[in-house]
Amino acid sequence: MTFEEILAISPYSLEKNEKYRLLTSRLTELTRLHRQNCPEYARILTSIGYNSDEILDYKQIPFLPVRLFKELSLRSVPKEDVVKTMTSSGTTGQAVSHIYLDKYTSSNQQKTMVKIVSEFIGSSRVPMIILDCPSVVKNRIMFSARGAGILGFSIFGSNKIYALDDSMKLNVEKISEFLEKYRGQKILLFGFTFMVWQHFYKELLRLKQDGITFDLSEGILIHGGGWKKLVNEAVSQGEFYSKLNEVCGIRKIHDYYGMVEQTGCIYMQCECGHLHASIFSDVITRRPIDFSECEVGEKGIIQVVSTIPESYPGHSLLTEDEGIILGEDDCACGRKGKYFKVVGRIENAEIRGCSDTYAAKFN
Amino acid sequence: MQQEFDNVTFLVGSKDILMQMEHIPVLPIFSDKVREFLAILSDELLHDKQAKQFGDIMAYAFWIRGAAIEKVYTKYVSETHRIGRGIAFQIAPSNIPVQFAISMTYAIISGNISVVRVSRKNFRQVDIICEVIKRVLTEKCTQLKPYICVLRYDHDESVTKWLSSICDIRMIWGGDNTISMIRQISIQPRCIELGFADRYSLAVINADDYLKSDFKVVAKDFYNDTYYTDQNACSSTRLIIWIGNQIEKAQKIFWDNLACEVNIKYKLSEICGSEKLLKTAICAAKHPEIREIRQNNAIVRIELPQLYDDTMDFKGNCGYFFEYATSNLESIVSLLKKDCQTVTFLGETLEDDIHKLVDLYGVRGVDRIVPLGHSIDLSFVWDGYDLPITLSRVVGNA
Repeated sequence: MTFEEILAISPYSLEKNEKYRLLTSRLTELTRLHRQNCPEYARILTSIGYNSDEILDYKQIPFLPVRLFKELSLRSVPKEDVVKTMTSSGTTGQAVSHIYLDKYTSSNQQKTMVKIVSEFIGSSRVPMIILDCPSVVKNRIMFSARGAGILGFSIFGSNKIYALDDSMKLNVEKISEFLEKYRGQKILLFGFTFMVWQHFYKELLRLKQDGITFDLSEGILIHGGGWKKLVNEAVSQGEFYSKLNEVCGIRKIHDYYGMVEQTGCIYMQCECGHLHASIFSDVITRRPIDFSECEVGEKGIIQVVSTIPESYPGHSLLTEDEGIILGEDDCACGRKGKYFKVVGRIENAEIRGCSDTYAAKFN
Repeated sequence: MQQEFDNVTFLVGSKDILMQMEHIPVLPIFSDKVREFLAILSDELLHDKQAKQFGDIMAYAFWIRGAAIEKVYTKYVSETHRIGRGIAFQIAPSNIPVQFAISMTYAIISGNISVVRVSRKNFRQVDIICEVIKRVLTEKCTQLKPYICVLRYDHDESVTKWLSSICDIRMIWGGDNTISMIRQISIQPRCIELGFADRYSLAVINADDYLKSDFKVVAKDFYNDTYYTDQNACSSTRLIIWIGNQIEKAQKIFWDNLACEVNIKYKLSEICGSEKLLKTAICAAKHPEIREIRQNNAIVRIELPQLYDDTMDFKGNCGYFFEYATSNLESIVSLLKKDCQTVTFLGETLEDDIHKLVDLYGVRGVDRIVPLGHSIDLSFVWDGYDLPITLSRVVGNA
């Protein structure tokens, strides 16, 4: 099955059995392709005794730990075909992931993203406010997760402004003008969860006390990047939404789950508050003791599969996040596919012993 | 120079005691005072309700009990005119709670004044032991009070600098990074320094002898060598060398029995499965001939068709084992490098065989050769140092 064939299908239209057939066909094909074209990947498969004849279901396809992309350069295309290298947002001193994209995979990422997001905001482009600063997308060869997210979502904007300047200050005048110009129209806002809270919400709150308010009741906010940084602020998801609503009247807010290692296949949060898997990808939760598949409702380590990656062997990955599958094909929002929630990062338990390398790796 | 101690917490001792240390007389090795102190400390710990909850505190208390120390002492009785060097400044590791007490024991039994800096991590064991030490010093062994300080401080390099400038021995327990960071801080010209760095250890098992042993006992012993410290101590076995005729049969029984032990006793932390997955992937990308055997994530084995020079770069923990089968014990010489600390053995002639290898090849590693199950036994000889000797000086005569 080619990716074009998958692209022709509506993102949340397939029932379980049809989707499984599609994924099994496409992902076994990708496994074969990467095995043939990425020597390291082939070696890893051999070391774990992989036999393609035994794979009857996409859930049996081996997964690589996401952190492997920080340790090894994994490519399934010649170097000269690489048009973009995406990097993960590692904190200082930490190794960063390198994800190599050729033209085809990169363009499929974008097409997929458009198909998924259109299901939530409609297919026409709308005025867009990016809740970040312009400098984050300056280097177009090396994309950070934040930069990639912004550029990815920018295709939905007809006219775009950055809400923050490079010193992370809210540009009140520019935003007022923008909102005035598009008054009464649907407006898309996009940003990373922590940035939205720290540099947008808090500033709006302060301005409100000074009598300056913005009306974003027609806005749709899409935010991602996880809640980890907000733990320190002790903000729950519910609170995040209600406080934002209070301060600027925004009603439509969608979180999403995604990662640079599988750009394009994002998991959007629906109107019922659930993250959804589209037909382009899937989530499987696994038990820490033996990686067996969890039941619905049981917390496990999240494995993600994506039908997109052809230029790097990232079609089946074990994340370091924990999540819970809430159900399949029966979310009240009407979308088919699995819906789930992300609980957080796997706890990095303190281990005994004299070696301090382990701790250093995580700090 | 007036040193500030505002950010220093004294778990044992005080600022005044610390400031006086340069003027306190050293003691002979195995002095009466210190032996008495250790015996009382042992007794108090063994009867302390809180201490009893910790296996590692009990192991330490047992190691320093009166009879045990007297036995060790007999080995050193002939060492006359041997006295401490002065102040022993020790930096305890961040991952083994009781190591600070073990280090202190080495320092004082050798006649020194002991200052230990413990990790910022708050281990219950550290608090419990320090409380008991304080009690013993106040109630029964007041004469030793000037000899012991246990401190904790945050990123305050000035304290480390000051202690380094006055000490006669500096002992650093920790990873290679910690050691090289502290090494940048200078010490007095005659000060001696011991770095207890990151090491690896391995086991050699004769399959035929194993098949004659009690499988359950061996499983327990091996568990203690490895899982008990999350297989992350220097002494933890990372690689098993199998020799003999019935290797396959022995392996099956060995791992099945270990699995029973592990499934009952070991709590695998959630990240371990993917950690091990990552190790195997990185290793396989370089050495495609390896084979991973994974029953579940608590026991992951990597079969090596040959011993690579960089095998130990891929070592893992929490139950991640390399295995290599050979008919020729000499093939393991390549592994006995500087970083190799302990070789445990199971097999009738192995102790001699390994000693012979070490001598014959003049290898740079291997500081201990002990029976399987004894890798974490406490000892006054550690990392190749006979500590009561290394940490003391002898007043020679004609």
